[in-house]
Amino acid sequence: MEVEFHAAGQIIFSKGVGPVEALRVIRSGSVEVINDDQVLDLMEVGEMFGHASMLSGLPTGFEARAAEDTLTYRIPAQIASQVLAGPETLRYVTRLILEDRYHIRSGPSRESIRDQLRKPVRDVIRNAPVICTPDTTIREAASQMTMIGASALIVDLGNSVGIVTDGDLRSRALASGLSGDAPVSVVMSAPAFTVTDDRPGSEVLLDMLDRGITHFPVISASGRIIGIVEDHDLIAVESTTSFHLRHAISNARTVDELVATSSKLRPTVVSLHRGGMTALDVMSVFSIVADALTRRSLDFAIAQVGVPPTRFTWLALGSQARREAMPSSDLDSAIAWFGQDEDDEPPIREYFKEVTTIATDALMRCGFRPDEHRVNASDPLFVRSLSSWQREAHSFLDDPTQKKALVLVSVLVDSRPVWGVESEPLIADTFRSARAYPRLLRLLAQFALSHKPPVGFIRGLAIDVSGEGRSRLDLKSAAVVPITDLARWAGMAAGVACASTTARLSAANDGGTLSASDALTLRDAFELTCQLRLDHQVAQIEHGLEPGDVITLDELSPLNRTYLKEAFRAVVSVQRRVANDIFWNV
Amino acid sequence: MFKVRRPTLFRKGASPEAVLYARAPRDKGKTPWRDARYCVVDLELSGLDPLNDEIISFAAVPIDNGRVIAGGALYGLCRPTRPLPEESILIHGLRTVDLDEAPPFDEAIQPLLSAMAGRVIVAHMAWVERSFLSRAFERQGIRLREPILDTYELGRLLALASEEPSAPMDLGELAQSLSLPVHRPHHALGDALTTAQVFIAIVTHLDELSSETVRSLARAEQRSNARLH
Repeated sequence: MEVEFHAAGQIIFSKGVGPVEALRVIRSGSVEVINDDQVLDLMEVGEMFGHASMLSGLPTGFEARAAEDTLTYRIPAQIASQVLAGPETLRYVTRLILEDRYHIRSGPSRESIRDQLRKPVRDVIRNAPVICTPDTTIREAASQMTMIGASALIVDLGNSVGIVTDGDLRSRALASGLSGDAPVSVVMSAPAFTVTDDRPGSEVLLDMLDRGITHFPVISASGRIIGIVEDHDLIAVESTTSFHLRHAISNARTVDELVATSSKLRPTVVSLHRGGMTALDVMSVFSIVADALTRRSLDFAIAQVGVPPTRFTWLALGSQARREAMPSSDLDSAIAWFGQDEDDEPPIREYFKEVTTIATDALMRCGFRPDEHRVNASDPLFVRSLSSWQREAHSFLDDPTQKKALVLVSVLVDSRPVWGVESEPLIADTFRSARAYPRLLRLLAQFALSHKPPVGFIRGLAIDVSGEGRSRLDLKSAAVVPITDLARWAGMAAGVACASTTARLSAANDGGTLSASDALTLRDAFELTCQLRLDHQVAQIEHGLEPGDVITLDELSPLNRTYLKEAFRAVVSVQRRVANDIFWNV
Repeated sequence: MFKVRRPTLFRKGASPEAVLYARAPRDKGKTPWRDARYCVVDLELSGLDPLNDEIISFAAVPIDNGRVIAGGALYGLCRPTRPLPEESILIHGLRTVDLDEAPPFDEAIQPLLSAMAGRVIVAHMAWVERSFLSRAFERQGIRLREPILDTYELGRLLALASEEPSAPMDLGELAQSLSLPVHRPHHALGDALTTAQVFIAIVTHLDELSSETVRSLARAEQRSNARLH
């Protein structure tokens, strides 16, 4: 890479020359894009130009002129095109926009955190494991931990393992006044959740958050214990706030305490975003915390209303179920109760109505808005017995032309129990057999294809399919929904029910319902739009505004605009291919 | 009659790198600035006294065609012969133990000699580099070659030309006054990169006023003084 300086007014390249031999990224200053003496665009720090001519081998389509004193990084064609011309173009570009911009601002820390999360956990383990037997005394265990500076010890239980953390010693041994001569088996957690050594740090981190555990024994493929991975090994200290947050939520004793704790959720999102976590990972963390808040709100509601008349499950729907919730997300929900087959059980309905009202109220006070489409458990339609839900699900499979069938199938496939009984067959799983119902799949595909992303941007307006221009763009409906809907259909066609969009896309790839390149394209476009959404929401939170999904095109940098447009185009082309497959080849 | 003798460029026993440095042809004084090849050098020192203090780290960044070749940068550490004074540790953050594994100075600078060969040297507040390097080069059996361009003097010349009272002496402040990013200060590589960016920015501006050559840049100090008197 080379660094160049252009004084204000200097022409970096003229129109119609070339092809240019390098792409340039603006490091300081700004560059005007000029065509026929008209300034079309002003590119700012972090933006890239010259790549179109470099890649296409065509002459430049515009003149680039330094609008002020400008420092650019010049990346010669042979280096840049190796990366840009590959099949991962969009991914590279996504990274370039999303990472370099921050990389420049905040130095190498962001990169290193991300690297840490990408590595398999075996690479982040710092010490050889210390393994003891269950009859080791607590005193002996504590002194071993102190000696080697470890914060956890593995207990060998023959065919499984237990774990003792310094937290266990404090809370279980010291606080309860156990003698130091007691065996560690009294205070250990067993069997411990373990992870295999090849899993990437980011996955393990989310597992930790999900389970509220900060230490995992790491096991090799051959079953050997190779060490312990800690939350601190995976993320910067400031990011561990999400653990404290989750912990504080489950320990809140009153709704007021819960509300006070949840006020830290948005600042946590901001710090994770700044700390270099990808939007997809931030969404997972946010969803896990939303789950914890939902559970605790229900605990309070049940404590207030009384023992439930029947066992039940609280289902998270939509983005929370897919673990893709963001600060702007509504928490959609439904209830399924067990045992009673009849839907019209007035006392049961009355009970759930009260519980839902209290829980929803607590969640609203925690900063979650009620769903504008009323897809939640306060709507009697979404409170039913499990067997009634299943009857409905099966009837949709058999006759997908019923009124609202496609909407409801989409809602039910994206459902995940967050409170209550989880062992019964889940509603979403009913749709695992969707492959056997081609008519439903075809209609669902049609449904997914009905969301059309804008076709392009002209002069600060997003042009939709009807040719109408809008200066504001709803990132969620314009980009996220078309992708999640396609992924849901493709996942169902591959036998997957409730899962994240990225998991659905890779299942669709494995199952052959999407080509590898289409699955990758959609994944990259999804990552890009989620990142832009999160960038926008974090900026809003920092300005004290309520986070939302509607952006004005002006707030996107010209380059982000270009790549968002590319993402839209990519989604449209996948939609077109899917439409062809569905309507001609089936 | 007397024979014209070529001046001795290097003494016997000089290393191949030193010989190459001493012999390499460089761009002539009349070369337009953008066509010349430069090497920006920055040193971190145990102190500012060239007789008693030592070079503990160095960096070199090439400039070709007016472009900073970031990928061609060189950075090295040298093991000092005496413990580092505490006040210098506070500046550059290098401790004596950090340099334990580093090669001794005379060995460590061989790559620096190769990097500087055939290039016009650029440094900020160049008297420091000049005094430390000329002593070091003497021990190698070679002489430090002039000219050495000084971004402080070039900055002063630009300030005078734009009728500003003065240019900042501090490298970081100078970079900021030109709206340029500042790389890690008091780290030889960070300072060398900042100096390189400052150099191309200042010279681009000077060149807009009147064409600059290697020689005219080397005369920055005299030109400034002439303006003042």
